[in-house]
Amino acid sequence: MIISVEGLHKKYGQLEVLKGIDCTVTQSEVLCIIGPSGSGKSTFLRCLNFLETFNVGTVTICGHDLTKSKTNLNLVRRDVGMVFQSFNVFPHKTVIENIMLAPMKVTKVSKAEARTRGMALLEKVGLTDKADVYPRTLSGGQMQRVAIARALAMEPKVMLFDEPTSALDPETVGEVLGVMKKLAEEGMTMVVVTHEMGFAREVSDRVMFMDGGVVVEEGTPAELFGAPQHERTKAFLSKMI
Amino acid sequence: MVRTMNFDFIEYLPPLLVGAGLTIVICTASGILGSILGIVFGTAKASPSRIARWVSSLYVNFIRGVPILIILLFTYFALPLIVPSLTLDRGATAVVALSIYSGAYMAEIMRGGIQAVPKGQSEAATALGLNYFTSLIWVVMPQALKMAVPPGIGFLIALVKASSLVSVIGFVDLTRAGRIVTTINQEPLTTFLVVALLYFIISFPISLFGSWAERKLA
Amino acid sequence: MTLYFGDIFPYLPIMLEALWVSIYVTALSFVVGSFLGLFIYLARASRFRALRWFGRGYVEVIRNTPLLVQLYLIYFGLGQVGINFNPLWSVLIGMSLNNAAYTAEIFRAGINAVPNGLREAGRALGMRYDQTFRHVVLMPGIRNVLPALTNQFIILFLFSSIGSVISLDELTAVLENLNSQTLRTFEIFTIGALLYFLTSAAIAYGARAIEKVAFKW
Repeated sequence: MIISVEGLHKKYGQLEVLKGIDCTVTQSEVLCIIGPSGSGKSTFLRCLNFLETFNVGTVTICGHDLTKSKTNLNLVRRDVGMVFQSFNVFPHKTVIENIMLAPMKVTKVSKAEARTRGMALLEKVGLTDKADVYPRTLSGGQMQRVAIARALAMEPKVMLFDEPTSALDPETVGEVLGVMKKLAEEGMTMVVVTHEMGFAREVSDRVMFMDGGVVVEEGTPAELFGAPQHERTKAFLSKMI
Repeated sequence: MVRTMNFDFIEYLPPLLVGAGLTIVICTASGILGSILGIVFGTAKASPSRIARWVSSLYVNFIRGVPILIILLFTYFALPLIVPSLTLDRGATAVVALSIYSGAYMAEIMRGGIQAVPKGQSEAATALGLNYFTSLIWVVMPQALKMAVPPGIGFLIALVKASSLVSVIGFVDLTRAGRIVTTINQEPLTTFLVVALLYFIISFPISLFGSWAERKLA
Repeated sequence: MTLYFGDIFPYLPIMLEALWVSIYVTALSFVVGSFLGLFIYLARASRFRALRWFGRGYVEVIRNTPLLVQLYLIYFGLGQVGINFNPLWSVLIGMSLNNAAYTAEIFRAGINAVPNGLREAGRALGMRYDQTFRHVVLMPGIRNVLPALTNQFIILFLFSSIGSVISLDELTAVLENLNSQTLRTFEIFTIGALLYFLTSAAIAYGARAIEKVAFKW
């Protein structure tokens, strides 16, 4: 078990955004989380690497228990890569420097080694020719691919994707999804919050539908898209397609 | 020699309050005149006319590169020499100099406001058949003024502080009143602390009002 | 009246010398004040309520009172309790303390304007809080801050003319002296204004050139 979540509750003041989430993810599994905006799916994802604190429940990820105060979050985050909706590439660093930064500063990899690894990752996301340019010259799809390569540079055991294509122009969505699909095929464990139903249907092993801070329904893509059980799921899917 | 501190409020607070009142008067007058200058030159600076832009840039950029003290001294000493009929008393000199000064900063704020109005707004107005001035007055200006209000209020605080320099040409504002009081009571520390407090009482509400307006108009 | 600048030219070296005094007084108090401002900013961003209150109070008091009154407090006021500074020191101390409040606010605005997502990305990569600040937040923050700092430097430079009020021999004081010596009032103040204007324009231009070279990203 790579991720195991039990009874996760999260409140912003009076507003309860997560009302008891249970969830497990096994090695090499791809879990897609879908649901309307405000359903708590992004908040849930951000609890997995403790970018968001939570009130009640346990989260164990890659063998780290996030509820224990002794747990070193920086060690957890080395094992958990994250890709954001707004890319968050570092504007003052070139593409290759974006990728080299964390390995050099966190795991003390030598500069030469970091560069070699970074170039290999750029090859993987198809951006070797952009290694030495600054991000401002890149398209959204290119920036997001840099962000993926940057997260992979820490050799994470799990990758979290928070709506990775929502801020992209339609014509660059495909290149990012392509990279993600390749990752899934290579056996990366992935949790993906997404509005791309096609990707969820085709790539994921399991789909989780969230609404109003709870998991309404989950199952294989065939089950969830083919024969949704709940009215809320049906209503959501009919609007999406 | 260390003297004791005992500021005689009954004796010396009234003259300071009169000074504070005059500070408020000249700041209000030059704040209003400066805003008018600012709207005119700011609009000119954002206008399509090259001459208007050039003239207003000259005024705005030059004044913003010169100390208020020099503007005051120039208005007080040099202006009457070139325009002999223009012999102003100290109060009028203060208001003229501070207005010229504020006008430049207000113009820059106004230009920023106008340019922050999305271009689509004036395009939409043009598409509806409005000419430049009609669209400026009825479509662009209301939105630009709204954006200019918070920084404009911010500048009023700078104006109150800059107005302390009119004391140098002998106008008895709050600062000058403080100087006069100290020559009598020989208590510069306590007197200027009271003066500073009075400035704070004038300025702080403006800054609170400014942050309120910023939240309200955001 | 007739304008005649010819009489003034012999005095130009004196004016330039005085301009130099204005510039170095400004530069010195800007550096010291910005350093202080960094600490005021850190106090305002601190976890401790007392420090935050101190920072906020300092900024509000300085920003809501005139530099001239602050200068009088240092030059005349402190004499009342037996502390005497000469005009140069008074101006340096006054302008430094004044500048600290403004730069503290500039730092605060600049750092706050760095998108929070960058911070999160740094944290998500496993970097510690201090590493994230140093490698991720700092440079974009500095870039945000520089135009405002340049502006503040120019404002401080213009307000260094206040030194003349307590007879520090900077440009404005020298202009006033030359005015009473030569009675070429219009010419003297015109040239003086031009000197101030050209210097601030040069500062603005130079800063923009530096920004262009320093920030290729």
